[in-house]
Amino acid sequence: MGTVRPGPALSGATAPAQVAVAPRRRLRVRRSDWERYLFCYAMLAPVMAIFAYLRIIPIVQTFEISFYKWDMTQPVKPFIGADNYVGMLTDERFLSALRNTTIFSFATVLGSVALALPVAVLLAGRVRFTPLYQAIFFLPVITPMVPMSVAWKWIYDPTHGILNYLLSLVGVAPIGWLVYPETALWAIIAMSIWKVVGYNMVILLVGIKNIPAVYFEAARIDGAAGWALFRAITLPLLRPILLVVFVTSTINAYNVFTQVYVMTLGSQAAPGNVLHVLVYEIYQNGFQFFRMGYASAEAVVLTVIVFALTLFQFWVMRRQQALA
Amino acid sequence: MSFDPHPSLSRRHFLILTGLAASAGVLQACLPASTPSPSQPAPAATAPAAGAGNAGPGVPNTTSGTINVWTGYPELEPLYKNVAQTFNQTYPKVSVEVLSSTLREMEQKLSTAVSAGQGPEVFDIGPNIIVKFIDGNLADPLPPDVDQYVKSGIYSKFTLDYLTYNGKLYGIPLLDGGRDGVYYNKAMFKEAGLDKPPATFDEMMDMAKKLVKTDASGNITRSGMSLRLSGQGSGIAEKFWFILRNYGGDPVVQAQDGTHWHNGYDNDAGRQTLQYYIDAVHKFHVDDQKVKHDAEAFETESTAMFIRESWVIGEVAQKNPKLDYSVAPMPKGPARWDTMAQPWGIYVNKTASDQALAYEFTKAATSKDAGLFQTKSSGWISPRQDIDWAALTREIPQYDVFVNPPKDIGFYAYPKFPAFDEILTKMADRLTNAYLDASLKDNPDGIAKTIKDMAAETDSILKQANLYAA
Repeated sequence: MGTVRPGPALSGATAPAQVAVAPRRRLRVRRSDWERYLFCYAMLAPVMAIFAYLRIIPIVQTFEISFYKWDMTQPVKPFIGADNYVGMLTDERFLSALRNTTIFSFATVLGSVALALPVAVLLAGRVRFTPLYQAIFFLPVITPMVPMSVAWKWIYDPTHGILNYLLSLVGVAPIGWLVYPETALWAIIAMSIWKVVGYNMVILLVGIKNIPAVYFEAARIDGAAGWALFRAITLPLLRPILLVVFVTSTINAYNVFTQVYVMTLGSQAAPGNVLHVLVYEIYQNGFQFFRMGYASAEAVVLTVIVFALTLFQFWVMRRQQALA
Repeated sequence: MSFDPHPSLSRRHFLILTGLAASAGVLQACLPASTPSPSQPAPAATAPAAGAGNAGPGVPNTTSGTINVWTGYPELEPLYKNVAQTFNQTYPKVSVEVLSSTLREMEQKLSTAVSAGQGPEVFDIGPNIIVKFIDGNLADPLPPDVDQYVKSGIYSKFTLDYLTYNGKLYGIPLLDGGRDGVYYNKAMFKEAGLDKPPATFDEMMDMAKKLVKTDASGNITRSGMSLRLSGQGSGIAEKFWFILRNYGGDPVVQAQDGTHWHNGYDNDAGRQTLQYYIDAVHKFHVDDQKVKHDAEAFETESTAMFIRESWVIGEVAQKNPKLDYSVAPMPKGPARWDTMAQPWGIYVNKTASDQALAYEFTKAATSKDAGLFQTKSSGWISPRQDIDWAALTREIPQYDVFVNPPKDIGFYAYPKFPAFDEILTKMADRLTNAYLDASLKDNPDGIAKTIKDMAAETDSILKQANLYAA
């Protein structure tokens, strides 16, 4: 869409003269093109309207509400300026949630990429039953998070869990994986890596398979093999795909909620704020304590953090590409 | 001067115009939210405003429509469906639709709907939410005839006082959501040489020491008593309050002015209660975070006793009907002998178009027969005083403690302000961390500091809610 074809005024003998006399920088749109644009935008309008209604407007409103003391059931919602944001700076629960979410995100993203990359490289080679392995690795991705979280809660169960049973075979005493602060967050990180590694593996696998074979052939002719081939060819050419994986994984990781909520639910679960994460904190303030203004401010901060991290990842990747 | 035969618009201008139009649309859509808006007009309810009782005795009423009922207790669904069947004998053209979910989900759903002038015709909800609706002018007091009916002596003064806000009743008492007792496994007690349930909290600890079982490595395989030590939500603090109350404390107490509050546990009662928990876990090892807890532990015979409400009876009947158990009254503390009694109301939405019909339904749902059915089917006790419980207690003796509590026992309930849920939830977070802290064993200073910090947070929440006074 949007291609401007040379019209009659620019064609034929008059064209060079016009170009010489008045080199126009502005692209002109003819009536027929204008109608085409109109048609395209008219067709896009319903989708854009729905997108604006469901995404853009709530985001703008969330930002706006963050400056109010906003309780859903109270008719008076006073404007309080930046008080919600200032309050967050000294809110132990928010800071704890921010710390937990950051640890979770970095560990999950780095862990899942670190596992997915070698798996993708191996599966990109000539391995028998590759589709079977791909399916096995991808299986956790397509299984819903709630039942998987419940299953992992059982795996981690201190008295009846299979993990403690297996460890008991080598003499390890029962561990309350989801009970103690030292292990609870890392137990959920391990489960989350298991859940996401297949997705990252598939994306990276597609990226590796799209690297033209000539590069590998040329490198092999020059004597490269194994690690050198990976470092000199695969990794640099995979950078754009790695960027996609890092960005999407980071965004998803900062939005962690379901597994934390499910695995800490009930009378035998993780201790209080040890496992608070940002989205849970937002949910609790907004929908349990009905402090919608404060929850909105937390949501804005989360958005800014994710946006900043995404920009940072773009910057790092571009810088590396430029250096390369 | 050149003449362009094709009227045109630059692409840049086109995109700018489109962008401006889109931005204007977004801003326009956002504007109403920037001003605090009163409740939106109520939507038309599904029931036409026919008015209840427009037929003579014995003649089926011709009123038609739908009564939507929302409940945060899925176990109350059978009650509402049962009441609907009876109700349909009088109102054959009225259908009753019941929607249930977990309490937390219902609180959110109801708050959103009612504050937008929507929601069901009838709902049951706790004091933390209804007080918000009343403050926000989203709920009306009972009509005079219903108010008279509720005050006709069928409910206790405690229940009516609790459900009275600003001198007015807004709903009909539906259930007593808090009365607790000590569930104990009779076979385990017999095995340990114990012939009666604990009468005091000290006795409870002593008995738990005899009832706990460990493996060769010292790991607990069966807890002597199951305390609420971990997990999410305010329940942990509520269970802490069971003991705190009887040691003489409360999460919050009213200030002298009668309208403000401050913490009620930065005192000996608070410290002794935390000490009780720390001793149970780290000193006497009668309970542990790693073993099963709560009703699940009792039903799977992983604990010998625990304190809970009456609903456990129904759950035991489903999950382990052969369990040999009984229920005793709440143990006495050094300062008090109290058990929680949490009256819960059923309300008619202000926006229900046929208020009279909706109130007819709420009266039917709280009738004597319905109260008996509710108690038996859900385990939640009806607060009506005129129900004859003899048949029920003959059939299921465990109910006796709940429906015929000891005469000397006192009752208490949640204070009626919305921030209390936040107070309990944040207390719970700190308590779970404290219960894990082995350094608090025989450490009065550490316990005092933990209580002091927790109490400071409670006061801080009260200050935020403009409810604090020293």
